[in-house]
Amino acid sequence: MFLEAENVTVTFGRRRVLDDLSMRLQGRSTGLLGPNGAGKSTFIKALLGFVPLRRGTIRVLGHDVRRQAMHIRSLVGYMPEHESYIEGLSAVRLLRYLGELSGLSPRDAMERAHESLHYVGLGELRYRPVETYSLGNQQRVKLAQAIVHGPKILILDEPTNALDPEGRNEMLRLVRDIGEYSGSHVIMCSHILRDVEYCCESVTVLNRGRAILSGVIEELKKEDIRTYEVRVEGNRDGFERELVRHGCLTSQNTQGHLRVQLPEGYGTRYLFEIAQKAGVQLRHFHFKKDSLEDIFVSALQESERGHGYARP
Amino acid sequence: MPVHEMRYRSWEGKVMPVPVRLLSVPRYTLLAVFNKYIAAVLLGIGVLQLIAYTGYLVIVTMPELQNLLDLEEVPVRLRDEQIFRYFYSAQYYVCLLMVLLAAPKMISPELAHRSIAIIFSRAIPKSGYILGKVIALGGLLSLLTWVQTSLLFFFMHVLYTPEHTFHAEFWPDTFMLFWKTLLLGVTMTVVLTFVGLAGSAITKNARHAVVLLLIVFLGPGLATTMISEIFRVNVPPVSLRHLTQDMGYLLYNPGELVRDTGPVWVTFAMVLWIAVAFGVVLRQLRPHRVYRE
Repeated sequence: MFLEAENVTVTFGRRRVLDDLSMRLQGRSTGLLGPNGAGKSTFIKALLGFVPLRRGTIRVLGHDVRRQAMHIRSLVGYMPEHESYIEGLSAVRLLRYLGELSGLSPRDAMERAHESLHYVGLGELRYRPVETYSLGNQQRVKLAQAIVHGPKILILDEPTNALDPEGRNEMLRLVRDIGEYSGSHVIMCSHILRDVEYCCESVTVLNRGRAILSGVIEELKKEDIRTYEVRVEGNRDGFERELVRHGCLTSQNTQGHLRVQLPEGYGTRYLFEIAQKAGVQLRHFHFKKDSLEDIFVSALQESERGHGYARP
Repeated sequence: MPVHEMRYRSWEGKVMPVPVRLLSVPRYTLLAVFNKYIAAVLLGIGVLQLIAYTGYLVIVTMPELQNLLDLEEVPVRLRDEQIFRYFYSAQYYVCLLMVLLAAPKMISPELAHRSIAIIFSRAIPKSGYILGKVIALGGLLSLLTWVQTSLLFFFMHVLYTPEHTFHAEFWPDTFMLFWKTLLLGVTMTVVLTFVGLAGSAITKNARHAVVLLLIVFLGPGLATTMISEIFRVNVPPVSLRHLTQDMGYLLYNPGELVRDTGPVWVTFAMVLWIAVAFGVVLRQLRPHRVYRE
């Protein structure tokens, strides 16, 4: 476990942006998912020590953010979501400056600046002022500045923003490569689920300032024998009402099929019984293996319904 | 090299202590300032005035040149006072121009493209970052103020040998003046540095920062003059120009009142300027304010 948050509350004025948030991140790469305003960026700012915690603690590699924010920042590389450059400075000079601020000697900083820019594929453009770069290349510069000092934890906030498909694929390959081969931990904030699925081992979903789901992606995606996709002939609305009355959770998938989660301890027989009571025929019926999108949507729906559950 | 022909390599080297890494703040800030040649030109003009006054000193210490220029008629004390008054006036205006030119380049560009977010994500304290900026602008202004003063007095010390006829009546006064003028130069530098940084931190647009600084430099003086004239009341001078003038006057004539005000008011006003400017810088660079999107 490289990051642990316990009952973290952050407020902006009267608004609780992080509301008693608790989570533990482990493994090489973790995706932080959540709708806009879920608190992903605020959590990152809190762990960098930029936003004061009203309550709770965050520990990064065993260091408390309240007392050792400076030390934590020396272990972290941060790629912000928004543009970040100094007008007039070339990419290599910008990276050298930031490398020196991170504690590298001027010589090491220069060496690492060149190396990082080569790594992200900007070797040929490294002497040009950053403001003349395309948005995609500016994204690469942001990644390069985040890794210039060889951080133990790399935090990427929406790294594929403003990238064309080819640039996006390259960025994702770089992020995955760093996660797999560098020995650094990667935290990737995104609302693009496929990007997280491609780059990360595990995922944590935030909603309204709370962690509502956390786990290894492959384990979360395993077949859930309580969830079915069904298509019925007859009064579908009546069937859905009957399902809810019998304690089932229902939703609709992207193909328009009904998605049914049976209560704990009930099997397929129960589903047929409900269909019989509702007077509908089951025409299509199979176990549902969740995609990350399904897991995300389901977690959000359950959270909004007030279940507030959190899988360990 | 195209993406992915090389693998990511981490870095495990010796990390420099915080004070050493903070040195890069003034270094890169000054590089940004001197990207514009006009800053170098202005610095050159500042140095030229020192050369001009040193030349003047050479003239007044050479009897042949004095005869040639009819300088014997001018009383030594008047010449002594005039040289410093001209010197300080010129210093203030060159300094002011330098602040208008250099200060907006200090913090505004880093706020404009939000690079301050990636700077503060490094293991450096905010106070260290501000100190780095103070060193950059303060160092630049120092070259135009107290460093020049010190050099000028050094030249005088060298030129005014004990054998020289002027030495007896000129040097003792001048030597006392040295500490006073040094204090004035340092105060002026500190005030202008903090005001300049505040102007730069308050807006993301460097041009707006120039306008803002002009208003700060000229506005209060104009306002107090107008209020004094219209309402026939004696408003204490609060503009930096007036305060600098008054402080200079107080240094020459301790114990005397300036514009019905005294040294306490002038010192208080100067400290107030520094405090307000420092407060503005601190407020503008609060991390969660910087990071607000």
